[in-house]
Amino acid sequence: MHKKLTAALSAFIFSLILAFLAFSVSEALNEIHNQSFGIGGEYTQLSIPQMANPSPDRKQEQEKALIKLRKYLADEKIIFISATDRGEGNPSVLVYDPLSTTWARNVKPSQTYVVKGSYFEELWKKKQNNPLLIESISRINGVIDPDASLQGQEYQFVHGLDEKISPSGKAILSTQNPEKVQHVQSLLSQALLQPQVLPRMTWKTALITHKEIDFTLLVSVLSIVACVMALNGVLEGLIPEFIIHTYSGGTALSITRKYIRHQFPTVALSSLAGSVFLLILNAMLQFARLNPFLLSLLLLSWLASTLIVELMLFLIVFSQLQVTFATNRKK
Amino acid sequence: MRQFGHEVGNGIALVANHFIQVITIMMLMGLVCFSIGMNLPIVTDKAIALYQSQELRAHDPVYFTAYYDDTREKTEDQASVNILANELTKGTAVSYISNDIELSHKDFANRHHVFIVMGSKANLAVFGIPHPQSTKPRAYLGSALTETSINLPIAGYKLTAREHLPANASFFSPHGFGESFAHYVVIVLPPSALLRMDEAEKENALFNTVFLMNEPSHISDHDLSAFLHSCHRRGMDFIPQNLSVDLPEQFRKVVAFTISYVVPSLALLILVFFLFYSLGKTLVREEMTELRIRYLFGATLGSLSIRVITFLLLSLVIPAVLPTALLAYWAQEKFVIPGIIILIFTAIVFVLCTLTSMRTIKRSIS
Repeated sequence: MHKKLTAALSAFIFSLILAFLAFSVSEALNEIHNQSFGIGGEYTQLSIPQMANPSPDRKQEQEKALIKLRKYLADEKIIFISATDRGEGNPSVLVYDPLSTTWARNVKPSQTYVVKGSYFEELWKKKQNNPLLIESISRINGVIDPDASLQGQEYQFVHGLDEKISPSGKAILSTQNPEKVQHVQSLLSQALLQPQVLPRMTWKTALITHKEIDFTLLVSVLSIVACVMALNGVLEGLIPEFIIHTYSGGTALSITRKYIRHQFPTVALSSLAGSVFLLILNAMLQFARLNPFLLSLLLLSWLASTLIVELMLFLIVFSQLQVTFATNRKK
Repeated sequence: MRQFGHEVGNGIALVANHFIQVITIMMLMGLVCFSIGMNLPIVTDKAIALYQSQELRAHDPVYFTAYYDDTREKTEDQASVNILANELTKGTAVSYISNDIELSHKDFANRHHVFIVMGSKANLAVFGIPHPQSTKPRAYLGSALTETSINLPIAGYKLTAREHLPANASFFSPHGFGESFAHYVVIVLPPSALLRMDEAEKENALFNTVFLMNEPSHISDHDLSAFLHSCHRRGMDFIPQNLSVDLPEQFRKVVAFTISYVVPSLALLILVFFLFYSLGKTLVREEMTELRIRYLFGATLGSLSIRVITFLLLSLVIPAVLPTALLAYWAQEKFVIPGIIILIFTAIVFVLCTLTSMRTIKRSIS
């Protein structure tokens, strides 16, 4: 059994691990993409903690600063989207899109909409009054279909930017210009808020926040180590068979090449089985949404695992033959 | 006996010769145990919740996620509490209190966790309690509690918990905090007791409310709206969620989150066994000459195999048992399922490997 099964088993396991590496990478990229709330291109994230309501005279100050903010955003053509943190404040999204390029283009300033598919959309259609609406808002102007990253969560309302509503939670600005971000920050500070710029997503922070990539990467490296050790032990048993070929003029290189060419279909098929195994698991548990990106990553992982296992087999058999020939020559 | 000691000593010497492989097996085993032990319980918890809530989900339940707005003035509006008590009496709602119980009374229930369940449909969320449909006020002790009786003065009742619950008693929480009752004191109260409780307890009961929408007398739209309004005035923004839709989605998310840990770990475990198998083969090949000589000088097959078995034990079973035992000690009940999986696999591989090595030895000697 060993001859075919050893290579097949290592290829299957290795490609399975690589397939999960591909899956975790695609999940992480999907999540990073969702962080921008549907703003394409460059963006900056701000965190705005929820503040206690200001006293009436300071409230005026806040409203003035928020009007200034809207004017600045309009002048500089910056999109502003803020969504409350889970469990804090009012489950709503605050939006201002002067460019009219995103899903938010239909949201007009100082108007309020219910999120499509939410419970409060039903209430609104039944013309019942809405329990969670902020007192300062008298009526709902329609239904809006926000970006996928804001759906399926608990957000119920989309507000157009309004001086009566102070933003809280996480805010996205569609610019990375430090001066503009600085200016928006100072305007928000004038509005009695304490905004903080969140660090920009780089591959380093992505690896820190997505531990599953680190883990699958570590496991793939460790599995190479374990595979090499295991194959080393098992393939040693095949040496006597290889030696026979030297009588018909085979060298270490030619014997090894012949061996791995012989193994290639097995390795490629078992690697494919590893990738397909992920798809079968997915069909059972429905954990991943299949998209072309994930599928192409899986294809890549299949090719990579085939190549790496073939390379491992080549190096192991070749080095073992070299050692055996060297000791034979000494005798 | 002396020969036995000698053989075991030789087996240990073999481990020293293949030190790198054995250390690798040990480290990989430790990593696999750790990652499976940390992640599999998250999935099994959700799967258990999914299984437990099967009956509840058939009732088309609605539960609430809460947003707390600290900037608003709060009132102690009682309308929502009245609606909830009314629905509990009708048997169209399930609710329980698991936090903030008797905050003014520090030594209540000897400082154990307390769980209060109300209503005649309690059997949908609470499992393993005798007569769950009855609303007669009574109290039970969790299976792990050592006390024989605890006095529980609550909501005007003077209850005494004497009976211990079975070990499998547990509760389901739509918010994902369901747990075993082993360390809990469980109190069953009639719905009317809700009106006599503290504000903190009432708030917890409101938060844990599940309305059953497929009952013919289920909560009316008007009452539901009034309930939400009243909770809003109490400072809690409740958003209705459909549990039958939401829970499978939660399960999907948990699986997506943990599967890139669990499956690669299991795959690595198989590779470790493969490494072990190859180690056994190498060993038999290396030792064969010596074994054959000793066989010719009268050693039996049994005494010859002691050495190989010692080696296999030391290089697989110990590296597998050690991290499993450590994690089981550290993480307690959570590690039971992954620990059993790993140990069963290890045992099977150990037996298979021993048998094949013995067969190889037997064949090449005779």
